[in-house]
Amino acid sequence: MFDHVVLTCVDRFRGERTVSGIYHLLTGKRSSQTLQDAKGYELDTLFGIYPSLKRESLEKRVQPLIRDGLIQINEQSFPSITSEGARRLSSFPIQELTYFDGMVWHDVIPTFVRRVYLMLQMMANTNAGIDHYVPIVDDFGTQNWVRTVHHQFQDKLPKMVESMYEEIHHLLKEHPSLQAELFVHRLTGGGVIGMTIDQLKREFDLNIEDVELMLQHTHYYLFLESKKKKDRYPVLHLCTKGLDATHLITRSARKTYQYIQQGLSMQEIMNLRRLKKSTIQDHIVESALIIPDFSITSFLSEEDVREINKMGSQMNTKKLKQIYEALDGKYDYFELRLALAKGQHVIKEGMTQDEA
Amino acid sequence: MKHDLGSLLKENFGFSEFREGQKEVITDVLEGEDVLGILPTGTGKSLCYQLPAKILGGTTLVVSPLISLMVDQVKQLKASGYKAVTAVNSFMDQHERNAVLRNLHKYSLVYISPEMLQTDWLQNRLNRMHVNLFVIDEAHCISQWGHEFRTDYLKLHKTIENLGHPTVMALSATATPDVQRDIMEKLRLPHMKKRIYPMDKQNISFAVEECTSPEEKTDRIVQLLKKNQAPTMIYFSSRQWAEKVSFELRDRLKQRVAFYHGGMEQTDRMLVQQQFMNNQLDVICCTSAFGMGVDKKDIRIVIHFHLPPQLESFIQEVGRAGRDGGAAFSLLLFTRQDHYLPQRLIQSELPGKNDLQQVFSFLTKKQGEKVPEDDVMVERFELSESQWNFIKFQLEEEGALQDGKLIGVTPELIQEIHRFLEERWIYKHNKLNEMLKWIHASECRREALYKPFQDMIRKPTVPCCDVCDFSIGDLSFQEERQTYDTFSWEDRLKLIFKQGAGL
Repeated sequence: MFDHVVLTCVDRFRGERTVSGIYHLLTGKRSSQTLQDAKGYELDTLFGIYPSLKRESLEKRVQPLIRDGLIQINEQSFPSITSEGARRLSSFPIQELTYFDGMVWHDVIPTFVRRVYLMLQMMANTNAGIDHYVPIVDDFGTQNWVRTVHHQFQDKLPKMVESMYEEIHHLLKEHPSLQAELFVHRLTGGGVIGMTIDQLKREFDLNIEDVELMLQHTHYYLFLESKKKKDRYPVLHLCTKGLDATHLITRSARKTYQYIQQGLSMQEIMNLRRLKKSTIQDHIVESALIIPDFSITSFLSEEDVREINKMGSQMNTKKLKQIYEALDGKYDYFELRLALAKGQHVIKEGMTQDEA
Repeated sequence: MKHDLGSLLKENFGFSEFREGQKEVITDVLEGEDVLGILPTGTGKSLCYQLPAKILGGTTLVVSPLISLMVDQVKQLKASGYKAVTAVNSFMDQHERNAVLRNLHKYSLVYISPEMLQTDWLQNRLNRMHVNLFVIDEAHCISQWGHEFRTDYLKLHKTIENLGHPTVMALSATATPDVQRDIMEKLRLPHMKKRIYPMDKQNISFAVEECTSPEEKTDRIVQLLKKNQAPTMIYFSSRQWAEKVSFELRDRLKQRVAFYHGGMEQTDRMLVQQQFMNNQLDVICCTSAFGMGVDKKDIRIVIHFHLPPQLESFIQEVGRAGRDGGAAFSLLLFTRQDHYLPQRLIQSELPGKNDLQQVFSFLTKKQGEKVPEDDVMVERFELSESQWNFIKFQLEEEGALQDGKLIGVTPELIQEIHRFLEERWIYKHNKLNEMLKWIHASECRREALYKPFQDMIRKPTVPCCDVCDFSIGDLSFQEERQTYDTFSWEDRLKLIFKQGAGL
């Protein structure tokens, strides 16, 4: 599965980003570069799905892909996919990772996961008559949350236990069986202690990265399904309470955005916030990426935006340098990034209209 | 004030009688006497302060050397229903720490690391509370480790003074008469009541074997564990070895094997511990990070793959076997090359003579200035953290380092520190030599092991040792075990939720 994710990234990046770019994407680095990449190359579902990924592990996993001729590295050390790689990519059972939706949910998934594991332990233990046990999740906030649930629903607990079992069973039945195996073997409760990542890896003869990604995919699956269907999965839905989609914008960028909305100029914001011009520009690009109705006309006319995006799609690239040269330096790099960020929404909206 | 300790014990902990020594130590502190309790591992040392904490009211402060040990103990206490307990440590996030500190006076039992105890805000907080009992767990750290990396243990006497001298209880499982004296001296409490109990384990048989290579050790373990199936711990001196051998055993044995060491992720560490407690694992390959705070009663076999650096560590680790009183077995394996391992460990703890010279010629030029940050010094002089800690503490002790500033680094002082360093080297090497002497001894192993700690060695209830009357070939542990390993996810889920019959 991990190979497939890497190949997907390499494929979409079209030889225009390094392995580092993939690393930043999967670990969810909050830089405007990474955000822009995620959107621009349509990899936003994979953004931040693997926060604990180690850089060395990624490097190590890329090597065999090169050796087997699935990807090649050009002289600037940018990887691109080979025809063999493309074949491999298309043969992958895609339903095994369709639930990833990182850009929107990566921020709240860890909380959901902690709640599910601890709540399940609490319920299964109550059910088995185990009163004293070591909580599987150390996090203070999660423990408080589960405690509250326990108090609040005390008399309904037996029903909820029943329901939780049924919900998980039902959802996993519809899920790839290997992923179901991994998830259930990771669970602790009712006198059964879950397995470590290392044990799962050995038991199922997988790589660490595959174990972690498959678990993660199952977490996204359980989250999205139960978030959507409150009546069908009431207990799991409870675990999604208060966890909403993130508008992925850094706090600092939000501040800049607000000043611009108030009509301040870039220079004024620079003075006010004592920040470098390039930082403010990053914020503006980030805002344009995330907030669809952010008006950028004070920086670029609609015509300019169109021209830049047109050149980009004509040349079939997101590489700023190429576009910059093709337009004879008419726009600076900030303007190009801004236009491309804005262009993202135009294209997407256009697509949905067509589909509709 | 007289208490019916027996019924208090039953009421609070559900036990109907005390283990050896508990009642005496508890009575002492209830009567307001400072006490030094040397109680062997597995006799329930922690009950000695948990019960008085309940009786005395106010706050009982427990200084504990390892955060992981503290966290484990708090978890276990909470799991057993003792709720008014917390551990203040540097791993807590801001939110959690604030919540705990705000309510600190509401906890009856507060575990704390010695470093944490030195912070001003915490001392202020404690001064406004009623600390009725001050407990020093693993009190041998004052002597055994103190000079190297637990320097803050040596400052405890000041804390005790600042708190208006609450009753003090110092506890340890292994302390020779020398160390006992050292503890009382460092605490500045020469009149502590001593409660010393024999630490020889009557239900453990001992064996020591020499191998020619690490591979031979592994072969020997495989051979042994093929014949014997029971909860087993194997101690290693390094993480890499613990992992490596665990993989090999997993391939070569039918038993369920896992490794455990301090470098593992928190959740995984807890899972392995719980699996072992829950008999979902048979064999644990671990470093000394495992064991403290893990109270599994039915461990039958303890194997040492490497030589511990001193008898005390060995005795403590062996003491985890057979806590239920049933027969248990200790095997130590060594090769000739192993002698160098603990030696290297000592080298990484204490600075060398040359290190000392270089550091001091640098510091002498810095008189009146601030000492550079710890990591700067460590990097600049290629020291280990504990080596630099040693130097820094000596400077503080001698008054040459005050509020981070250097004053009066004199040649006399430097000479004094050199002399002290030499003393520590000799001490550590003597410790190692005792260990080496023991493995090569031709006399009864039990006698030789416990003789430095107590006058009388009791008669064992099992075959004694491989010098006396014990042969490994006679060993036969065969225990029933449950296994969930081959379950499909559906069966396992049913088992977790107790759905359906027949599982």
